[in-house]
Amino acid sequence: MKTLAFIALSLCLWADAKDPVESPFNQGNAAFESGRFEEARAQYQSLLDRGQVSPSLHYNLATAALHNGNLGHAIYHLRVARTLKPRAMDIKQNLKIARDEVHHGTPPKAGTWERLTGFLNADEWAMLAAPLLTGWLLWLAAIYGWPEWRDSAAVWRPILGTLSVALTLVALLAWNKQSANDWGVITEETLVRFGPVEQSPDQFKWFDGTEVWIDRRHHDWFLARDVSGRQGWVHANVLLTPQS
Amino acid sequence: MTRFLLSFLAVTASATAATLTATLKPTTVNLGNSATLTLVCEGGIATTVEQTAAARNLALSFVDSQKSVDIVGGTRRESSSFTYQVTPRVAGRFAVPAFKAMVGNREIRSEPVILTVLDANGNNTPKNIAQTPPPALLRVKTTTTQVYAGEVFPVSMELLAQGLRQSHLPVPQLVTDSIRFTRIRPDYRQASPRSLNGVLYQNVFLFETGAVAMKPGKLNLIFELDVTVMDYRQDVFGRQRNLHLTSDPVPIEVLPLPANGQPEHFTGAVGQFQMSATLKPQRAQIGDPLELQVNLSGKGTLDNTPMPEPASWDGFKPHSATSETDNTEVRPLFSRKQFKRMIIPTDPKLTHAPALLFSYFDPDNEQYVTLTTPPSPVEITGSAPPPSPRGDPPGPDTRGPANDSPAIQTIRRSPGELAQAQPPLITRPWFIAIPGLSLLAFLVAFGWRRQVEYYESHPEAVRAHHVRRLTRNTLRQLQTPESQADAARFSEGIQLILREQIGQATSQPAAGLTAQSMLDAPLQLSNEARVALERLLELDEATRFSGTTPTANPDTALNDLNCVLRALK
Repeated sequence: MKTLAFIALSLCLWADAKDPVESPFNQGNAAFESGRFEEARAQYQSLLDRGQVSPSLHYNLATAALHNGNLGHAIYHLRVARTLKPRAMDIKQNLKIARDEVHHGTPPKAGTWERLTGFLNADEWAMLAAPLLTGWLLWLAAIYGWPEWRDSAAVWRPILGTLSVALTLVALLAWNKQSANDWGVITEETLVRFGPVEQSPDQFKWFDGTEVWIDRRHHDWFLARDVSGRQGWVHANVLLTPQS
Repeated sequence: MTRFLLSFLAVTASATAATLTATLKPTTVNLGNSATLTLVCEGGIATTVEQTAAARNLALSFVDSQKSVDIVGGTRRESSSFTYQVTPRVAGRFAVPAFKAMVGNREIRSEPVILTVLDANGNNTPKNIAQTPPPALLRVKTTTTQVYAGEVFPVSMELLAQGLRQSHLPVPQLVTDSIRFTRIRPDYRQASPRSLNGVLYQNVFLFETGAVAMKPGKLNLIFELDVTVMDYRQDVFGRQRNLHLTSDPVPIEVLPLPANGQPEHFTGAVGQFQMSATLKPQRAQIGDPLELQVNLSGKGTLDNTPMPEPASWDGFKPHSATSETDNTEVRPLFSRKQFKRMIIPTDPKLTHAPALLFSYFDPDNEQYVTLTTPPSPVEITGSAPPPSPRGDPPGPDTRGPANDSPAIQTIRRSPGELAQAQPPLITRPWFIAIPGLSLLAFLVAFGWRRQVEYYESHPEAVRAHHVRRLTRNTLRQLQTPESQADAARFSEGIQLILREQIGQATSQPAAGLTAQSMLDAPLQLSNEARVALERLLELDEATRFSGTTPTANPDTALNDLNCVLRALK
């Protein structure tokens, strides 16, 4: 009896998951179309809270936030979406618009490394490097096993070796950069304080959408630094970061 | 008549019921913090409220106002509220003055409320603090009291301190909303010490910057700053103190831009500007890109200004524009911005690039001004290209207002592949195993090949390896009871080991060695080892020639053999 009930429940859940109209993603889309951006955000966020991830989900959440004027949330989710799918033009465009809005049309330029390698994500770099490295190592193993093969395609061997090693290094560095969780985005105008307590005197303000690097964490407070080098403590409530 | 009387009574009752209530939260604050004053007008709508007296030692800054209309049980109830931020300057108990408002033709007043301000020691008595000049002061000046929304106006701030104890000079921060600086960090200069109210301020810093008001309305400019100074008021040697300074509010009225005469191309720039444009190259073929560069400069802010547009892009296919604000401009009220746009000629009859239009509001003359660049001459050669089967990328709509900022892309219909967040490929064991196994295969093949090559070039090593292995295996067999029971086999094993070992030691073939040649071989053997060798050879002879079981103990023979082997090593 219990088994039957379990099967029935599973079927219901499966049917619910497959129902395109009732899924939170489609409900979020419907809310977005009718201009209820906050409700759309909540629907998309509910999927994220269940651990579901996809570039489109982050992108739609960011777009709803952008329409709703929540620049910090928009920039955060667009950055995550871009990490998952770096060549999507719609993600790039909305991210540019959000950053332009924050920086009055002159956002800080991306770093050299990001510009050189940002067109692939870490997994794509790994998928590119691994077959080449594997092929090159197997080739080397083969010519040590059968020395008579040493002269065949000898010109290509160092080229393949250099390429595979270089791609492996790029893949490792891309993984190191893209999986870094030492960044965050301010989600509302906030006072930046000298110390990690509410009573600490404030130094200056950060506005919604300011992108920062995180240097240290102390309980619910983050020591963060912006693009101009200003540093101070902000509460976790106003900072969206992969650490939170 | 009855209806008129009822209406009159209703109006009179509503006016009578209108009240203005002031609440302060919190009512006690530490020096340096602010409290929120809320004025609620119930029973009517007050369009504005006004202080009945000046607030001493308090800075009141308007924050927000709201109006609401509720219908409860068929009764219409109107209310309005006004919010102020109250920032004290010194410790003490202060009365936030009463406010007055007009509802209909009747003036209503709120009650004064008390704010208690505690100093660093929890004391709310001003004592000497209010009587003697403070150890640090923040003063703000501006040359204007009325500006237009978007207009840049100068703000000069003066920080005076008796003994500043900070290596990094802090920048005064704006408390007032809807105002921003034209520079992230204003320039400052140090002035000579100044005496004020009998106190010598050694550290005097002047901050010169520009500010822009973004919303029309009345507001108070207030700045705040945290400094660490030496306080000499209660201690002749001075005591280091952290002070939160708040400037006196400077009232500013922000006027909306006039709607009359606003040009079609106006994009919000306020000030006085100049525009120049260049087109390169000036000779091109159909389809070749031309770079149109536009420079805007002048008094005012250009942060949000898009690229000027012509009346029409006929004959050209424009691409999206890029812009760069020049941050090298040192004058805080002035700015420069450069735009670049690639345009592609599509008409061979073109002789000029279109003139660009840029409109701004001049606050000094209170009128809109439109600048026009002269049409840039250009010589186009070649024939018109055939229409692309897929269509050219669309240019901007030349009929509508031009805009170089892209539109927000809409949402996606499909969620794509929704999945639980996975760790990166590079950290998954199966993924690392693929190149890892190939690396292992390479290392094995490499090691094996090196070993083969070594043995090929070192035959003595091959022989040593062979002798070692044969000795080890034969010795293991000699230690078994079956081998020891068979005298011929036992002796044969000992001889095999001796021949191989002595052959290796003397670099002779093992098969060619006899008992005599082994005894005569030039070996560095001790007497004990030589005697053991002789016994072993005698044992072999006895076994071979007698064909009977030798009387010698196998253990003794093995000991002799080990003795010889140790000596040969």
